[in-house]
Amino acid sequence: MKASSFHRHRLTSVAYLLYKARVVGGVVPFLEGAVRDRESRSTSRQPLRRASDCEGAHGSRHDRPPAHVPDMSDQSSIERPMQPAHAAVLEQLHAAFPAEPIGSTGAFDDFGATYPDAEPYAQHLEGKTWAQLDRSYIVTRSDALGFLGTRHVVAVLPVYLRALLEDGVWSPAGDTLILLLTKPDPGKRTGIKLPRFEALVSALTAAQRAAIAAVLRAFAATDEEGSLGGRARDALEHHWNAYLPGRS
Amino acid sequence: MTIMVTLALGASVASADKLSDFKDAVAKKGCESIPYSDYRSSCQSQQDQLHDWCDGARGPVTCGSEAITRQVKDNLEKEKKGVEELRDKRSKLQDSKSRASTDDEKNKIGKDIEQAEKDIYEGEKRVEQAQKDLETRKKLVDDAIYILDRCVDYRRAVMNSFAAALDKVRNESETPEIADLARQLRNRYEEGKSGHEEQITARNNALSTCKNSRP
Repeated sequence: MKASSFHRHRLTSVAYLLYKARVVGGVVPFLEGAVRDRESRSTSRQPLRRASDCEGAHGSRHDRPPAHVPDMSDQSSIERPMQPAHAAVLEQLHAAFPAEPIGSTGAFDDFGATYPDAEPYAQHLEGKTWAQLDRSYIVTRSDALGFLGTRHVVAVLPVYLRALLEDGVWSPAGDTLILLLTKPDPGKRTGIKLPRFEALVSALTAAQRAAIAAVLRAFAATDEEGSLGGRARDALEHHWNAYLPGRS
Repeated sequence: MTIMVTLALGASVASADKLSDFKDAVAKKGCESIPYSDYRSSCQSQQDQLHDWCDGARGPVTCGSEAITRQVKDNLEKEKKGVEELRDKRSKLQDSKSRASTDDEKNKIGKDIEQAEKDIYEGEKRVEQAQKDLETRKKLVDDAIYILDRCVDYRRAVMNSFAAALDKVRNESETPEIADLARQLRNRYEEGKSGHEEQITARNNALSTCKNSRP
């Protein structure tokens, strides 16, 4: 019976991982049985929100959230309990990035003339605090990070950091965000350019730098064997570790 | 004389149209900031495709972590091993039963065999589920690789639309006003290039994770 219990536990954790995969990936639900079994043991959980449920709630075709990304504005739809350490980091994030209205004027003036979604993205930003932003849209449009001016990157950064913290390896913005936060090696031709990285760091307060470091560390700990977690560790080692408590 | 005037008027009208196109382009962002209609419409159509392939509408654009594949595979192996162990246990019990000398002993072992068979049945169901999990994972990874490949292609195509426009604006000098607007556009295209490159790198990184996640 002990063996059965062990196997059930293994199945539950694997079913969870694939459940997440199904939510984000939109794969045919092979796991109905396992997921039902898991859900039946937790009656308080919300039913899975399917992508089709989200359609129509947004504006134009390009403004619509992707069909294979969960509606991250409603975290109850995602079976991923917040770890206590993550809750503390999230608090740190909120404290470091105050909820101030974002003015979108000039958001793409410096680097974003060729960003095709500059106008709708700017419209989404206008007058909202980072916590009020349509998270699904903003996370889907993580490519904007490469085109926003530094001041506006700082303004929206907490949305992407929060997504990385809460959605982990399934955040569609994960690769873009970690690339943005990785200090480039001299002469490196891909990724963010050094002057842009340095401008970003200069624009951040000490508390914001520490919050970014805390998010990267918390995320890296959740993906110890994966390459995205490895890239987060690289970003920490190249720069952000210095802002963690006890480092200099 | 009439031909000369007509030609001069035609050139002047063309130049005015071009100036208007350039003024419009400078005032806009994205594909609309390309003053050449052919490059602009190419950029727009590539951009539509980019949304389709990069936003998740076509399927998954992330594979999560390589660790998921490993866990799914390990789980299948563990379940298979568990069933094998249960079968061995049943076989040993059957041997014991055949050697048992009393009815009490036979009945007791018989009950153990019955329990082992139930456990095997449950174990086989778990193996079946674990195999389905692995198939699900494989499908997600294969889908994501296919989709990310196209996402990267369309990102490059959009970037190349601006690169082509950049090449062309470099040579614009018909009038001082056009030359000035062309210079502004050239600077903007050059400043925006790294944004496209960053996104291509990010998507290639996602692609690399997926390739490493193949079961």
